[in-house]
Amino acid sequence: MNTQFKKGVIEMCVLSLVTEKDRYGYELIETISKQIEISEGTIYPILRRLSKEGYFETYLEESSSGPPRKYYRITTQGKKAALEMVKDWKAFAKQVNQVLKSEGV
Amino acid sequence: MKKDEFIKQLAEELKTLSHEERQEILNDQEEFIREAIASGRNEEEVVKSLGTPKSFADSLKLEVQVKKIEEAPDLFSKGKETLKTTWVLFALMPLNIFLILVPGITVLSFLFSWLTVGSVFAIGGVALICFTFFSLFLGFTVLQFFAFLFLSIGFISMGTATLALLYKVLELSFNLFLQYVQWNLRLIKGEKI
Repeated sequence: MNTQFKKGVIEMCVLSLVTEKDRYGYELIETISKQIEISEGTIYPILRRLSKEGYFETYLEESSSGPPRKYYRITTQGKKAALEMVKDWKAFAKQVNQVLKSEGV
Repeated sequence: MKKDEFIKQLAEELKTLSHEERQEILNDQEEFIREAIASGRNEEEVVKSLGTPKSFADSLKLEVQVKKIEEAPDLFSKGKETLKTTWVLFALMPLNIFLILVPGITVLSFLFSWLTVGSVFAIGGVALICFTFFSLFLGFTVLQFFAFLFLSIGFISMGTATLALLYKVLELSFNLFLQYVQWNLRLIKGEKI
């Protein structure tokens, strides 16, 4: 699949998952890899970029397994971006399905 | 390779980044390996899945550059970031020197002559228009005046059109370059993203 396209979609998944609740990096990798085939190195750069753009805030929290984990929390700005992306995605997917259906593919 | 060795080598590879950026990447990667081990995976295998420290660092650097080119606000900064990316590419794969330099210089000299032609027409036109108005005092006839006026307007429009077209071609060249960088990235990382 076109990598640029896939990257954009994964970015949306990351945003939505963090909107739902605060999450840490490895948790996101595991959750997404369950459904989509990704390289494990993809997620952290996305997290760093989205944090830099002000979509996430980070904080450290003690974990049961060793040193503290870095958690990501959505910001107001991030929430807005996530909602917009998901809305666009759903509309787009619906249109694509319509085209495929009408052409009988 | 064990976690600590990977992190140490990665730190070495990322020396060119700012301290803050580098520390963040190292922390993230260390956390990733730690969590993977905690979830029951084999340390050596987890580290192996990341690739070599060099290829890992290389693709990170390239991706940062790609983002910078894509998000550059104007053509000038786009050009600057493109030059920087070229250096990164040279450092990653020396073969790139041949693959980029020859077509790169050809395209650049072509664009430069284009720029020169466009500028000469535009500037020449402006100079001619000044001369035309000035020459009114030198006893030009009305017919001569208008002939020169139209000639200079023609020059200016031709110059501006050439430059505007050049702008489009520049944008196209940047996109082509970006695709080439993406191809390099896929080579480094394998097809999977």
